[in-house]
Amino acid sequence: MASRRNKRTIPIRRIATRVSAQELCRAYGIEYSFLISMIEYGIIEAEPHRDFDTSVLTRIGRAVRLHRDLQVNPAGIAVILDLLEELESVNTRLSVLERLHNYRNR
Amino acid sequence: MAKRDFYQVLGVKRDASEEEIRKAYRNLARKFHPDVNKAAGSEDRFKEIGEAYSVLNDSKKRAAYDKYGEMWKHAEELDAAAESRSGPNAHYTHMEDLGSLFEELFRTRGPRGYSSPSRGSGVFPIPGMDQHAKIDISLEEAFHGASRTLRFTYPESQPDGQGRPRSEEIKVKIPPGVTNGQILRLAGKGGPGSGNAPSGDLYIELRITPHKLFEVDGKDIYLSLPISPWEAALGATISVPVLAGKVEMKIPAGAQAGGKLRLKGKGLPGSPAGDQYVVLKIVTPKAKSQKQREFYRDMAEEFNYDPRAELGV
Repeated sequence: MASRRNKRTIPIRRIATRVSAQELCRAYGIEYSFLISMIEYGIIEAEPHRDFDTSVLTRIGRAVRLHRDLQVNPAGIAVILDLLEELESVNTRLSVLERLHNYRNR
Repeated sequence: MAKRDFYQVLGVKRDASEEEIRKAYRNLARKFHPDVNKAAGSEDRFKEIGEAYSVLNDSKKRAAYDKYGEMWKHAEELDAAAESRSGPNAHYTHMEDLGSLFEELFRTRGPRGYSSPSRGSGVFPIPGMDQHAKIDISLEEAFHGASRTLRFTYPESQPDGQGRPRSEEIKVKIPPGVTNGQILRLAGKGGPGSGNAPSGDLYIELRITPHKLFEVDGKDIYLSLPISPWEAALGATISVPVLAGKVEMKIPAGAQAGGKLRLKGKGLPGSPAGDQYVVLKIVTPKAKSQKQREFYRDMAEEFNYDPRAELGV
């Protein structure tokens, strides 16, 4: 099989801080209506007449996977994401305490 | 790596009903979903469960799997081969499979259902696929910024209609102050479009690896700090490690174990920057000599202190 490898190196300096609804739908393979319901259920924040802040990407990724893989509806996604974030925070605090506990007296 | 038996993966018997398979899948999918289960290996396990279910949930595929095991995808060819007992076609068939596998690989790269590249590209302008990647960085890199080179291989159509793989390296500069789980979006740095169509975007998920001293919560960092009983009782100014090096921190007199002190703005940079929290542990030195034991006894006498007074015993 004829095969040629072109190698190109592109340095990136600018990272986008905004992402449009259309780009979000494309990136995660979702319908516009799903995006709207995520806003309605408070899963992500939308500002009027502006593209989304890229900080919504983490939540959207999770929401889409929960919906696609486990058939969770938007109300369920909202609860799960809030609980997961709380769990992560609790786990961090627990790790801090475990580190404290593990210091040995010398 | 040899694949596990699909029935074993779902924990069901070979004669399990469709309902039993569906139920087992739902339970396991919920348990091992990588967004819910943060344990290492849960993602691989989830994929394995999904693959097993996709076959066992489809009566045709399941029948092929029961008959041919791991080779179930080739059921039709194996059936045909068994029927005609002719060997010479075997090699050709294998080559065809490689082609379809190649197409399948590229097709599954993006979330959107594109037609396979060899059929679609070059004819209609098709926007490039969005790419999703994950990068592990250390906490120091999250603080100072970092750079990584990612390599992607895309099929590229030539004027002669032949698709050839093209490898592209992208050097990503990660800015200081990124947080765990944050996703960076690099517009137009995903897969190239065909014809005049625009390129896709590149999405990079960042994961901060565990640090030997600090825990991270968003932009805030936590440090567990051991101090001596006299530092706690009398107060002290001590050196504390921070991401930028070290700072002098004042411990107030009468500090208690578990007490949390804040070093404002010493967390991950940003606007606003995160804080560093220092959680205190009072470490009591062992009395190793006669003199030290005497010293503790003198303390007991001098303080006449009952830490259990509130327990009412």
